This record gives sequence, structure tokens and C-alpha cells, in this order.
Amino acid sequence: MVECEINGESKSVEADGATPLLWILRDELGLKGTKFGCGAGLCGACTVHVDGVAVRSCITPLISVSGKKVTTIEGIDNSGEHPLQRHWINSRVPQCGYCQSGMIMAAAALLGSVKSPSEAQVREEITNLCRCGTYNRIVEAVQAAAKDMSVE
Amino acid sequence: MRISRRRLLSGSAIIATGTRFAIILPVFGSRDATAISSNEAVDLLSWVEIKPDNSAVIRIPQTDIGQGINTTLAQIIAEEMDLDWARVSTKAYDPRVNAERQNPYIWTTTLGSSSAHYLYEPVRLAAATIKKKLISAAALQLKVAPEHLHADQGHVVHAKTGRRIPFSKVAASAAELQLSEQLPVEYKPVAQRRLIGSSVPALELKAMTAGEKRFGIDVDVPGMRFAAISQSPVYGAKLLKVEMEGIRKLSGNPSVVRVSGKTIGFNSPVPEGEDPDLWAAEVRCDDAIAVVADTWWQAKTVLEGLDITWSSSKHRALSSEKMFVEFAQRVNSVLPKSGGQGNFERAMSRADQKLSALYSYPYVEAAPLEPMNCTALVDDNGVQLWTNSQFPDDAWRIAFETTGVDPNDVTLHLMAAGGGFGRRLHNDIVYQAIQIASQHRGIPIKLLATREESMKHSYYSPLTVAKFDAAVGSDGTVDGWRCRVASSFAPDQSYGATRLPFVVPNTHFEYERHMSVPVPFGWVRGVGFAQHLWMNFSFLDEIRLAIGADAIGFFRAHLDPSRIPEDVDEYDLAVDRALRTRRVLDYCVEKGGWSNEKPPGVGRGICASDSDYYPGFGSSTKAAMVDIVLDKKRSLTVNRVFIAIDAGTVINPDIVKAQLEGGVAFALSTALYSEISVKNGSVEQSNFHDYPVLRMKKMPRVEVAMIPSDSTPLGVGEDAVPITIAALVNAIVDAGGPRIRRLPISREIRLEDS
Repeated sequence: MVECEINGESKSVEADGATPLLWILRDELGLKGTKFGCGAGLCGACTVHVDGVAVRSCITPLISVSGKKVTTIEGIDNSGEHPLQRHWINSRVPQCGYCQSGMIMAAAALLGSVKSPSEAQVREEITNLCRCGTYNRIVEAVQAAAKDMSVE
Repeated sequence: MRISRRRLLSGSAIIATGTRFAIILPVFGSRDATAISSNEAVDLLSWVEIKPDNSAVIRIPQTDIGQGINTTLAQIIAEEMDLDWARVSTKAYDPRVNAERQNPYIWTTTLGSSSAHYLYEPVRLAAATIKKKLISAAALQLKVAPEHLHADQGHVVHAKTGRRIPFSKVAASAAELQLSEQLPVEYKPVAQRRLIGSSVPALELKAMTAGEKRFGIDVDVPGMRFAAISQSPVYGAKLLKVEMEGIRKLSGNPSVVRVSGKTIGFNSPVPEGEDPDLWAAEVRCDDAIAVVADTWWQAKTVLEGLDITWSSSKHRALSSEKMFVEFAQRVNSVLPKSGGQGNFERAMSRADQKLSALYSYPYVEAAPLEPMNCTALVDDNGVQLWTNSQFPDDAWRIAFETTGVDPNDVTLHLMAAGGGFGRRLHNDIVYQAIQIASQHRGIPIKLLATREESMKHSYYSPLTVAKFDAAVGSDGTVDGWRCRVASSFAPDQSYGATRLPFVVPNTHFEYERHMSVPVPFGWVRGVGFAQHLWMNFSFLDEIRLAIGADAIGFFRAHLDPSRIPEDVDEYDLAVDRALRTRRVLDYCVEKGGWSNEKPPGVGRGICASDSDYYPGFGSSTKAAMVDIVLDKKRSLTVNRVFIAIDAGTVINPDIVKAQLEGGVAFALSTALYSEISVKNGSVEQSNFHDYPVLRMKKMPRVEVAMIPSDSTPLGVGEDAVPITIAALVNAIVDAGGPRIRRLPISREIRLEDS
């Protein structure tokens, strides 16, 4: 039994503590927005926040989030109108959309530590993979969201 | 075997003149009158459902793989029907319904970047016919002449009185109207269009930013259990024994399933009576072991701990490096299949200068980000499938043929895919899921392959070696061109080599496919042109540099239609092709700033082509201009890619732009990094650490210029891939770098922290 907070709610999860957090989120808790891409921490499709830090949930054992706060794409903003989400729409970022939850979570963590990242910083810091090639629009959306957030 | 040009081109005869699966007018059966009362949604011509609240659901007979097809097809229909766009949603087609109603959806395979091209006219016809029916039904109800009515935002409007009747109020009676009274229909004039040509946001945009879009992997069926799978590690090895002892004690109530390998069909439709070899490749898979458990993680964990004994295989020494060497020897002598035009030998005998070069291309994997998966339920009611196959009609066939149930009892739920790029045309995972579900009757099984399994047991573009010889005439143009190609197992892909997008009067092509190689073939974004276009352009550039000609002048000279021999097949199409390519090249040169100054270390390359596998195929004509920097340490950065395109009518400009941006990223992944190698009968790569794809850091600026056009939409999805690779390799030479004759480029040039 592992206790943690997921998207603001306390949860007790009955599962082997070695199970990667990704599968707990998706298959036990029904939070399907977090995606499986590689299972090895290489692609970032499974990115979530643990105590505000971006982690790759496919290589994060459940036991390691015991007593911690986990945030997924479903919990990033109650209204679904986080500045990143709004600018993802403005810049029409997604193509297939599969990597985008992870991208938004990675971008949110970046903006948590760097208020207004340069284009080079965004490109350097977000190492998630998008096979559809939406990268330039992601950079545009992240920078526009950063601007909004510094005003707010 | 001597293959005539006609045979090499015989595809054109079939698709262009009305293939059995392409453009015939929709079979508007009498099946559309399914409404019993207006309290239910009314199905109109299988394409549109009008709901009682006057919202419309449009059927999409294609798989959403990120190409925006839901939005673009809905735009065409909503435009022609005058629907209220805010009240439009989409739903995937069902292959069983398509078969039962005799193919009203016309073209259901997500293949060849051809959906807009094939479906544009039929879909407009369907929509305009539906609108005419709705207006006629309203005319009867209002007792006015239909000429006094028009449609607007989901309503039939009587202009004189201003009365507006929602489509939902007349849909049921419209569905009953006899079609014969309805034809001919009129299309909306271009000037009145509000949706076609407009960059409306993709319908799923908000869902995609909220984690709410559901993909194949997200299917949730009550009572569902999970399966993980492992195919034979060496091509052709058979499953001998699995040690089952102790399994039952492991967590997750695991059970082990043997999945037999076989050839399960083809990777694309083959028209009736046609040679499958020209159209498709066999989809083969080897024996596999699957574990079913309560959770996927448990299934995977048990699978990894299994003690499995595989047989030896005749392919145990198979090596891609050896293939490169062997194929390079093969192309030095005459190969069994040939084609061409004019007289290459004569051109050689009178040549001012002769050049020769050897090029090669590795196995490449599409690697869509969503790993392969399929959910299946086999029970007393039949079969249910949840899949994001790009070839759903075939997935449906596999389901009833594998289980023996009545085709009418197989229901396929078509899901969205996290990328496709051709990989999901191969229904191996569907076949495996059905086998597993058949052994767990009554329990829905979600089969999910790991990334490693997805990569090692994929379907690859074929390892290819090409030997070029050219004769340069006294006028400084290429007079003769010979290309000999040896490749791994593949369908007839010679088109990539033979369809030169520039004019050479005397050509000779020979090729040989090594069909006994067990590495499965797959259509991968860009297909034959991705393998051959860069070779063709790079060799053309070698010739140019050898004679010291200017790039644009030299290329334009090879787009001069007066050099096309008058006796070539489809002469008019060949002339049109040269003129179109030249126009797009000129547009790219002008808009992209070809003549702008290049800072030191910058190299610039250009390429223009269509991807017409045969005359009249329907791809767009496009040109790419690529700027790169090669620094003193010979480290490569791609700075900018400019693309000019003639894509015919552009339904959604922003979606076209996104597809081209995506094509550039795919091209750069392919050119810079992608190589699947085979050693000791196994694929060596397993995940993104040893099969890297482009990262954000390496993505260049991409600019797009579209040439305005009102003609039929042309293919776009794959189209940036071949031209970008071709322009890139020439840009490297322009910057003082090496001539790349084998991909990926990372073999020769340093790519800092890729």
C-alpha cells in the first residue's frame, strides 16, 4: 500500500511498490492522459510532476512517490485553461497529440524554474520526443505562455 | 525478364482510370433511410448523421494518425452541405458497414498521402447530394419550389419569408427521397467558400492539450486483461518450449499463450486481378509467446522471466553489413528486371564525360510514438476489435478469417493513433491480439507491445544499394543515365529509381529484389522516393560539379520539356510534369531567397520533385531549399528549410503547413540518424537510445510557401520527406563537406549531442 497525493486528492494505491508510476496512473487510476512511449525514460511521453519536478513516470517506481504530490496533465489546471494549454491551442501545436501531455508537463516544469526562457533554453531543456515534428510550435507556445504568466 | 515501360507504369492504368477501390462515384444505396422517427439520428448516404438537436456527425473512413483527416474531410462536407461548423463532430467508419453497403466510403486505407486526393470529389458529391435531398424534402413540406430555397448553417432557408427549417426536421423525409430525382447536383462556387481553404483549428485540438484524446492504447473495456508479447528473437526461429512451472505462483494470475507466426496478408489493398507484387508486400510475423495477466506490468514482468527455447534458424547468420557488400557487388553486373527509354549505350558511346557512383540506404523504421497495440474480445457474439490500424478493412478480414466467425459478427472500433507513418498498415498486432483473445474467450484482451518489441519486430523500408552511371553530352546536360538497384525484400519499388523528376533522354534501369531476405518490408513515410530521390539528386549534383555548372541553371536545363523524347509513354503528362516542377523550383528560388548571401560555413541545397509513382498519381509538386552550417570541427547544424508547394486546392492551409513541418522533422531523423541493422539474424536496435529521432534542439526553422490553385487536392503528408533529404545532402557538399553516398549522415559527420 502506497499513499500519495494525485492531482490534489489523497490516494492509497494497492500495488507492488516497484511498479512504475505510469501504469498506476493509467491502469489503476484511469488517468490516461499520461502516455507510454519507450519505457526507458528516453521519450518523455510519460512526464508528470512529483512535488513540482518533472519526472518520467515510466521509470519512477510507485514506492518512490510515497507521501509526495503527483500532478498529471489532468490536474495541471482545473479549468483546462492553463496558459500553456491556451497557447498550445493558439499555436495549434499538436498533430497526432500523443506526446503533447508530456510536452506540456515538461514545459510547465521548465517555467516553474525559469520564468522567461530563451528560445535556446526551451530547445535545450525540453528533451521529450515528438515524432510528428511539432517542435517549433512548442517553442512558440512555451514562450508565449511564459509572457502571459509573467504578466498574471 | 524485360519489363516494358507500360508494365512499370501499369499502376497508372489502374488507379488513374478508376480503380476498384478508388474513384468511382459513391454507391448511394437505399440504405440511407434508417431513421424510424425524428427522435433518432438520421443517416444520410452513410456519410452524415443528423441528430435530433440538429448537430451533425460526419463519418471518417480514414485512420487519424495526426494528419488532421477528421478536420479536413469534415470541412469539405460541412462546406458543401452548409452545416454549422460549431455543431459538427466526427466518428470513424466501420469496415463491416462499408462492406455491407458496398463501399460507400470509397477509400479507407490510410496510405500514400492520398486521402484528400481520392476522397475530395466523392465526398463533395455525397455532401452536395445530401444538401439537395434536404432542400427537396423541405420544398415538399413547405409546398414551395426547391429553387426558392437554399441552405445556410444547418438550416434550409426560404429567402422570401425568412423561414428557417433545421436540417433535423427534414432529414428523415430527405433520407426517403429517391436519388434519381436528385441528380445532377451543383457545387458551391469557389468564391462562396467559407471552410475549404480556411485554417479552422483541428477538431480535437482542445482534447489534445488536456490529455483527453483517446488513442488505441487508451481503450478501456470492462473486465479487460492485459497481454505482453515477445516474438522469436531470430528471424525464422520456431518456438520449441516454454518452461511453465512456477508461473501460477506469480502475481497477476498470469497465463502463457503461444502465438503462431505466418504470412497474414498484404500491407495495402491489391485491386482484383492485379499482381500483388506490384502493389503490396506480404505481412509476415514469426512465432511469439504472450503472457496475459491482470495488469500489463505484471504480464510484461512474467514474460521477461520466462525460460523460452527457440529453434535454430537458417537466418541465424543474417547480417545487414553483409547485405550492403553483397548488393554492392550485384549492381556491378546486369540485373534481371529492366526498363527505360531511348538508348543509354549510344549516349555512353558519344559522351563528353562519364561519371559513376554507388549509393546506399539502410533499413529504416517508422517508430511512431505510440507502441503497437490492439484490444480484442472473442465471445459467443463474435469478435470486437479496438485498433488504430491504417488498414482497418484488412484488420476486419483477419478477425473473421482467424476465428472463423461470420464477418457480420465482427465489429471494429477504429481508434486514433499516436503517429502511423505507414507502420500501422501492417496488421501483425491485430492478428496476434485475436489469437490471444481466442484463447481467452469472453475476456477482452489488450495486447500492448513494448517499445523494444515494436522496434525489433517492425516493417522496414528496404536496405537498398544503387549504382549510377551517367553520360554527359557536349551541351553540358545529362544525355544518358543508368541506375542498377539491388534491395532487400520489397514490393515493386522500382518507381523511386525510375521516376526521375528531371529529364534525361536516354535512361536504363535494372533492379533485383532479394525476396528470400526475411526482414519484413514496410511502407515508411516518403516510401520509395525517400530512398531514391536523394540519390538521384545527389548524383545529378555530382555531375553538375564535375562540369562546373550553376545549380539552378543546370537543374532548369533538365526541366526543359523539349528534351523529352516524343515517343515516351504518357508524353503529355511528362511535359506537364517538367513544367510544373520547373514552376515550383522557380517559386522556391524566388520566395526562399536562393540568391541571398550565405555567411561563411553555410551550405545551401535545393531539390524539386513530385512523388508520383506513376504518371498522374496525384502527389503534390514541391521544392525544398536547405541551409546548413558545417563548423570547423565538421559539426553539422541544419538552420533553415524552405518549402514551396503546389498542392492543388488546399483544404486547410495550417494543417498542410503542419504536415510539411512534420515531414521535415521526419526527413532529418531519417537522414541524420536512422539505421536499423541486422546482426546474427536479429535487429540490433531496441529503443530511442540506439535509434535516435530528431530532438527539439535540432529542429530547424521551417518556412512554407503554397502556390495558389483550384485543382483537385494533391498529396501532402509524406511529401516533405524526400525533397528535404535530397536538398540536405547537396547543402553539405556546398558547405565544403563530404559527398554523402550512404545514409545516415551520422556515419560520416559529427552531430553534436544528438
